[in-house]
Amino acid sequence: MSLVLGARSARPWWSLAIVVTFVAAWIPLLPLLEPLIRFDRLSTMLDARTSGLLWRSTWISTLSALLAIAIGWPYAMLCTRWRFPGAGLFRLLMPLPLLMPPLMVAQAWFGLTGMTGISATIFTFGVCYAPLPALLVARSLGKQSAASFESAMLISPRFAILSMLRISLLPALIGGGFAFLFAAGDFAVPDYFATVGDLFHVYAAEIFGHSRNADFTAGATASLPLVLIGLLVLLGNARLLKSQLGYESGLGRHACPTNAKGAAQAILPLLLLALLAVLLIAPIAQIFFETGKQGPLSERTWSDVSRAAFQQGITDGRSSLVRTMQFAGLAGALCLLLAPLWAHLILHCRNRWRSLLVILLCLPLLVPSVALGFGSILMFNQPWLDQFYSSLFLPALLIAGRFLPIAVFILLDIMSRVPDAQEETAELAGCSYLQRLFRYRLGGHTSALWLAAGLVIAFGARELDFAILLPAANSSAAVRYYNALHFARDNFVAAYGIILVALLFLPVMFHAWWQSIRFKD
Amino acid sequence: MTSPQLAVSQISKSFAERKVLDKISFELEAGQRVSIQGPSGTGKTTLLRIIAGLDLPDSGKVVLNGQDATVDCKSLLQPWQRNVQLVFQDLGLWPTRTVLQNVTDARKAAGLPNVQQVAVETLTALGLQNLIKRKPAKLSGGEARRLAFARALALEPKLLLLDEPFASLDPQARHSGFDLLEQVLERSSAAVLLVTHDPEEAARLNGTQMNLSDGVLQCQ
Repeated sequence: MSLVLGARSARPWWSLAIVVTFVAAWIPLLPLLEPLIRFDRLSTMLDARTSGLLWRSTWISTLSALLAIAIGWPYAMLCTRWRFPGAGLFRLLMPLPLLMPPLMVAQAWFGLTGMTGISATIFTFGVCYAPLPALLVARSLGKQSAASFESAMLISPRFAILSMLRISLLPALIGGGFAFLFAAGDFAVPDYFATVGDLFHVYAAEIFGHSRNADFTAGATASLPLVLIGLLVLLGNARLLKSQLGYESGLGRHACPTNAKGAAQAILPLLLLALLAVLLIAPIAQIFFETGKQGPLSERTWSDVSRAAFQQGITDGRSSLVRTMQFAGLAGALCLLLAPLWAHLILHCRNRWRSLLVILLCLPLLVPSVALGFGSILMFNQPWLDQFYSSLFLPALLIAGRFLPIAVFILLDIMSRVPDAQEETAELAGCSYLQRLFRYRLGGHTSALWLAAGLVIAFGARELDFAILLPAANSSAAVRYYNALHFARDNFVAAYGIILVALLFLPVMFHAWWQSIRFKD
Repeated sequence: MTSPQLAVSQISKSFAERKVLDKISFELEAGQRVSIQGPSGTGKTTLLRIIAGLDLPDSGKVVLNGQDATVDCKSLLQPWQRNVQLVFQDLGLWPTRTVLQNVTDARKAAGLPNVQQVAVETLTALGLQNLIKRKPAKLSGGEARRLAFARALALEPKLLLLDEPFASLDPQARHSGFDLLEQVLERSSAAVLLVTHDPEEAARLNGTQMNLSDGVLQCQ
């Protein structure tokens, strides 16, 4: 054991990462390839109805991505590049809407406005995924060279703002690309709005429909067109990212936030508050209100009903919450090891290999989650894998595989900023690979590692689509929420949603709190 | 009697407990060249940033062409109202724009006429005419430096501030850098204030030489 841990070569560890990822992320995708060898499957995919659904999913996702950009881009710009009272809090809250289950956001906006149909779907996706462009824009603006910004400042303030817009355009588009991917693969939100309002279908719902007659192979193969569209978006994103990296300044001073003066001190927080109200405050407030909502003839007070709903949420839903945290936590722990290994491997690869590895790593994220569920059933539901199939290790492995790219990209960003010389000196001194990786590459950035694992846990805990299909994940909190919503247990649903959201927010808020303490030190 | 292009009086600035500028005063006439030499960390860049309006002093005054620009820790003229250009040590090129756009954008935003014509002329004069479609990341160190000078020149500033313009170059590149500086100065009637840690660079400016040490400015 000590021989393995003390190995100086990176190769055994990289091989281990690839093998685990193969099992966790790539094996469930193998059934998707069937249409490439069975043309009868391919022809059903190309009929008019299916193409129509695919087209509808594409434009719904495109409009959702554009809305996410329209909300996320200004939000990130205002709170990262201007200094005013509360800017830090707005920055802190920026990623949280991404952690809210989209189905809950849909429920909240339906309750608030009564909106249904395609426009409500687009709005919900736009709101849920606005943090994706926002986070990338904030990152790029934080890396703008101070000299570049100040050169523009010497010419005109409008030009300085233009320089910010230009440096953050590609990250906004990249974030929009990811928003597109998430929106295209989600079936639960369109399904919800179609249930409460006029009926409409999207492609992901068509894929999910195959579960009703247990035709898992058809379900898995039907997702291939969405995967191909996702792949195109990913390739586009990779191209944009390459250009963007050329624009960012790794060394030297980075541009600082500008002090807001005069009326701007009041206008900027108000603008951000309005955006935050749409992203976070209104949906949470509405759901919270629904915990105590009751019929006109009821004699109980709102607080009595709400308290009872929360109690029920905790007693009835505790086992699901514990189960969810178990497999999501296990997935996060797995990513604590896998993500640094992958990030390091990608960092050390030459250009073409690097692109190939990134695409392979991202594949599970491109696949609609439902299809991942179908693939897992087909590949792992074998008599000799019975124990594994019904254990929480399977959902943990799938969550780790699906959300590993997010963790890897966070660490890759951090690790690429550490000078190679630090690690190479340790290599020359004879340090083991793990020491080099964790002590000298990641040593000063352990909080990024915790953030990466925390996000995997949060995304895993809110995962609904494949959890519905997979018996081992059937008793998760997200599935319980989905079932309760469909059986119209309104107070319980709302209270359970709030409990779930609080649990999802915890890792990210804890990370932000920890960072602020470290920053003060 | 005309007022000096730049008058700095009694400028002081501290960072935490450390005083980097201690009641600095000097004047620069139109077209005059001054170099300030001093070791790293002595506040040379801070002084330029205060003159450009990018930083504020703790106390003191900056007057540009007879007009109060900064008084104590109050900025009376915004950076874009000072007609001052600063060539930063790390150049500050706009990475998303091409070589030509780096110059035309600047001139257009400053509201100057003949945008395209002047941009092309300036780039040609500095030997960048064949690179106008490239992005800054695709330029060599020397070419990027030329572009930074071209952009500053195209804005026709009254005062040109140069922050260690050749600090990171090897000896050969520094020599061609000096030639470039000569070329730049021939084309401009601006007063020039150069800060550097290198005595040779200070001497090549052919102007008044001053020394900044322990926050105090002395004529050489």
